Amino acid sequence: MELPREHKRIIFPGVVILLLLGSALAGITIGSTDVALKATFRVVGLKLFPFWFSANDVSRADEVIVWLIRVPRTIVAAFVGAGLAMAGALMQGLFRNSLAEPNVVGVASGAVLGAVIVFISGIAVTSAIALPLAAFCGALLALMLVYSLATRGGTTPVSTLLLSGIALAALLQAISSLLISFSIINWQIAQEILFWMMGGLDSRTWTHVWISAPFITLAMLVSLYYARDLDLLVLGEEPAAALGVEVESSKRVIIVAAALMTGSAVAVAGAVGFVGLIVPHVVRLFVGPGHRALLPMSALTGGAFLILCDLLARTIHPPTEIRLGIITATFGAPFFLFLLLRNREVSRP
Amino acid sequence: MSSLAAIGLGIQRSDRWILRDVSLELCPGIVLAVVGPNGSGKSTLLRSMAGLWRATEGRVVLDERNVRDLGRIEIAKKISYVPQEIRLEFDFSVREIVLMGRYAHRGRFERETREDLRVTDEALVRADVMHVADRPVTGLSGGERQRVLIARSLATRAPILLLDEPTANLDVDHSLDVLELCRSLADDGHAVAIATHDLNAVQRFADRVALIDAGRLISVGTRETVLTAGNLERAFRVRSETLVGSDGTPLLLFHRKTAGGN
Amino acid sequence: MVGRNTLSIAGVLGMIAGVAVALHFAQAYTGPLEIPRTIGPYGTANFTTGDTAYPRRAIDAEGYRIKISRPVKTIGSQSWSIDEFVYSLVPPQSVVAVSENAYDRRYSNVYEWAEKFRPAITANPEVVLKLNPDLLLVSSTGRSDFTDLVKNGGIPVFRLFTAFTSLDEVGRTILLVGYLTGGEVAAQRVHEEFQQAIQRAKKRRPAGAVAPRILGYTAGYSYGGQTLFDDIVRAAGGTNVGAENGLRGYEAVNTEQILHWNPEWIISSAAQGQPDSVLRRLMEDPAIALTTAARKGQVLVLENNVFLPMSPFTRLFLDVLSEALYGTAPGA
Repeated sequence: MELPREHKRIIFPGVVILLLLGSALAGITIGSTDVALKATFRVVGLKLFPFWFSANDVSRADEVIVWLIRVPRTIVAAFVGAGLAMAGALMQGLFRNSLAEPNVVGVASGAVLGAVIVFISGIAVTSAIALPLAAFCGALLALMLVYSLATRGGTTPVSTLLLSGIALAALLQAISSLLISFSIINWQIAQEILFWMMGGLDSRTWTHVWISAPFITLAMLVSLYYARDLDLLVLGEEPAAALGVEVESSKRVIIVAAALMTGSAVAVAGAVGFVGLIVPHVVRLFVGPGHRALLPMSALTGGAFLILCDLLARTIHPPTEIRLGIITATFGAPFFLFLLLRNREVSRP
Repeated sequence: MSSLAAIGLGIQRSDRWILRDVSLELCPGIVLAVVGPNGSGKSTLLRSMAGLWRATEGRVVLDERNVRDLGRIEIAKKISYVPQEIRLEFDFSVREIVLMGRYAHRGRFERETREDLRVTDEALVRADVMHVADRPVTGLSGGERQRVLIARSLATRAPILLLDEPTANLDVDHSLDVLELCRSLADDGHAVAIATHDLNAVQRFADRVALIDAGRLISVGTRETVLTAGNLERAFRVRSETLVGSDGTPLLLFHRKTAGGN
Repeated sequence: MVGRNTLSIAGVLGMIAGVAVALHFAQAYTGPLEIPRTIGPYGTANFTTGDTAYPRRAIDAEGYRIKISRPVKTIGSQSWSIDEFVYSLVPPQSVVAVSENAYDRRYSNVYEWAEKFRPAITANPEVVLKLNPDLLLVSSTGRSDFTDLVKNGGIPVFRLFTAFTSLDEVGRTILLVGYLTGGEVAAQRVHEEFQQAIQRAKKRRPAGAVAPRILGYTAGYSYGGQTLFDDIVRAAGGTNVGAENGLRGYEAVNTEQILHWNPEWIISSAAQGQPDSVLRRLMEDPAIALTTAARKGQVLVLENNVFLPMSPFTRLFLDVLSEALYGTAPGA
């Protein structure tokens, strides 16, 4: 049954919000050890409403497990998912190509390089903010580079975009791995590389929440400001300009916002791929390509999606955690191939 | 009533002059056809007059003001540029696309008003795409897409319309539709400029003609003054012959230039 | 020519900078936001008093002061070398958490105890918090976010210096771990055995013999100066070819370099049951086959749990090495 778009527009946000809350709940209550549901709620209640709950009701271990391990991890997962999903939607609008997303385009690798440089050189210790800012700069430079390589005369042919992105990603990954291998003793190298290249949310703390959430939120707000412009830009830069869009200025801000989201997400979770590809596509099926709905819905859906992927990563094969990037790639790579094949047919007029 | 004029306009890109010293005026109520061979600079001329390309020399003046000094939104309220094609990556509905024409009239977070929706509906009807209003634009034929773009243009309520090759991909009946629409818009007081290949369409629908070749304005004026055999031969390198249709419209017939006689 | 509706790029960058600055200064209220730090080499851990009365105090390798008020009953260990320390010094049932390597037959000298008493694995902070050991010993390379989290949960954490470069450091750590865990009596004994193993090794070399030139080589890396291997080789009366040629720490070498240096002994390691195949592969390398070591049959492949330990079990390596170099001691 084909629902008219208006109905989809109303039902979908409701479903997504429920999904987000549900997955957040799952993220907080499921972990490597058993914490009783009631205990979990008591801890959260104690922290949020200290006047209602007594500290004597909760054990120290439970308090730390729930409030210092699970809650921050779930929040980071939500923000990273939201940021990457919206960054993907922004890049698809920017490149006018539905295959664009932070990993494919090489932007996540730029963020990784920025983060690695700051991490290895020790600058990261001076202020925790250095990490996401450096990742942002790396992402920004990568995005500007890919944009100038891949866009000719206002169009971005798929092949050029993918090739530039792959080439850039490979180069930046190699440099990152090289820097890591120079600076850290052997047995730690693998661990670090794995984290950055394949993503992960293990041992995320409130610090990670503070260094990513504000930036991602700022970038999301700025992007919403440009939702309408994106609608017009997607149909062509000149027509958009003719309709009154300040094209150059809008593009610059969108690029900065996308880079900020990607950088902050990568700084705390490593390179988690395909979120920015899958989520906007699925959301588009329900709310259409208009960015005023697409952007916020992508963010909410992305948050839920990543919390669930993280849950999967933690519970498929206990006690080991599977790398988050592997989970998202397992969903994302086949999806990407499917889109690529479909794209081939559509591009014939 | 708005007027648009190019004065001594020159456009240079990577050491090549695409347009040189072009002066042209667009007045309300007039359909101006810009004709010339491929690569002559027709598109560039329209784009520059729409304020999309920056003049290297000379200037473009909108209602006595240089477009260089105007903000995009100000320009968009007065000039509407209709491109030849739009990118079809995402499946916006026809109505959504026409509604985009209202961009210049809305603040950033304002929702579309009743006024916007009404104007959109009117534009959809006028361009004869109301029957596909809620379909995704990716599913339309070339002709319907072109009319959607014109509808979007109409929704902007701009008094000046610049159309770049509006009939290039259309069947004859749709071509006629578009050209008749342009005619009626001019009759309503719009200033309309069309860049086109179709010289015979020009004969029927244009009030004034500008002939461009290799970036230079060869001639501008009425059909008779501009589309002379001599001009046509110089610009298009063909021999032309004028016939007359049953309703009195002159028709051009083209022959190869041979070295000597017929 | 920017329209009234657009944010300028400068504005956006300004906002980003503003948020960054705000967060930076917010640290004054929340305390420093810490992110995982790479732990570099740093000073040895120590105990401030050798007094065996409680409370016992010590300073760990990060400078953190620990106070142990009561004898420790349950202990967690975070790395494979610390596993070996604790199992050597305390009753095995007190060890409630170990690293995953303890269960790995290919490396572990404490495998049997782990299998028998089945302690939990320390990789997961949730598990450690639930177990609530009286003391958690972590290594030089343990992630700081892990230790911060566990400390927050009220569990005493002590970071040992485990990147040993001398046998002395191992000996001191034996005593330190004994002190911390209440196993000081066992520690004295184990320490004594350790010293005796060192002395035995030193005396093995016949007087007047030339110091044998020994190269350690595993998985493409060799051991230069500032490594435990280096100290072991010197204790056994040999010369470390790696250090001789300017290597410091663990560095990659290729087989051509090895041929050029031409060691008299090559020592390598392999997983349990693998020494023969590893030896064969080494000898198949054309460069290695031409070394004095290969020609004289002096390429030694030891099992990992003999070669690799940086713990009381290092004495195994000392014994095996000096046995190989000088033959069975008279009367042994």
